[in-house]
Amino acid sequence: MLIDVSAGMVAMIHDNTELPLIAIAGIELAPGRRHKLSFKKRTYNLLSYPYSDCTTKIPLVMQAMFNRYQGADYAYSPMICNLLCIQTYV
Amino acid sequence: MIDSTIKHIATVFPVNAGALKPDPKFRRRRSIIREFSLNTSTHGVPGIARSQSLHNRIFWTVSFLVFTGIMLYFIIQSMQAFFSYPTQTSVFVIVERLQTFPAVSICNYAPIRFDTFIEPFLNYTNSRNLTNTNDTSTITSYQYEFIADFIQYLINNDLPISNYLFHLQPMLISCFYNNLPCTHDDFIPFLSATYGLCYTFNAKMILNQTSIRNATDNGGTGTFQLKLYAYSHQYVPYVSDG
Repeated sequence: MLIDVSAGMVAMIHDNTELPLIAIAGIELAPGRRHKLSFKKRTYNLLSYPYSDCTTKIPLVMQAMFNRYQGADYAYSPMICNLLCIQTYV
Repeated sequence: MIDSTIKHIATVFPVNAGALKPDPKFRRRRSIIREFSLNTSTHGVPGIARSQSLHNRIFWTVSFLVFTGIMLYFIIQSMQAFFSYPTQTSVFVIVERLQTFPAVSICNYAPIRFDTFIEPFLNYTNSRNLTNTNDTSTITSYQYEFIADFIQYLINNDLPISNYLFHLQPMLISCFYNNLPCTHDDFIPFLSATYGLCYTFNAKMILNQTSIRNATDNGGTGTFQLKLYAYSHQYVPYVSDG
């Protein structure tokens, strides 16, 4: 059988209100080994309109996605917005 | 009427009646403008209005226009500065004594487990005359092409897929947060197209906003220890290749 067992689990550390895009940002962990993942938190406060196009308003399509996450209170993310646009229009 | 009054005054006081006659140029509407010009609180306009010689009038007019222009320039400039919404970037280093622990998501590297998946999958491909095999020990690269179709078929027909996924409970050998034990109930599940069933620890919840753990809980330093069993022997060939 052609099975690659260099990865056994996938992990990701993220903010409590951040939806984990684990396929993009996940770290693959090898089985039979001990892995230590450390973290550092950096906060960016970006001004909203009229200073920039930034928003925190969750569109309906994104809320529909968040509803699949078992009651988690996730926040708006431009990355998810782009992903949803790609899925919708491409 | 005015003429008779002036004549009357001129007879009582010996003055030239012509000097008291209002200038015919400044009668009626123009006199309103003149009155305004003499009394307005700006400096330039009364200067123009009260000037007696042409040179004086030109001087006041020119200086009034020049300084009005300079004033407008500065007003427009500051309005433009406002409407360009300038921003600046400030960097702060904040020392927080109480820090929240982040969320941690984990998935098995493999989206589907071979043992429960293979039989329904073979039934599906055999029933569609795509394959004709009952070999449940492995799959070929040809069969691999139909896995995505099979999953799509299951989802589109609302058939359960849960059985083919790696659940946390059997994978979780041990779980400790700041040396206090945790269970699979401390995780919320979600589906990833790449890794199947995934689980998130310490996500912010809508119903229980204060459930986020602090790094210093139980006097710890924010240490989350997981020991997991990957079930690598149940990986489906080709699906979970590097």
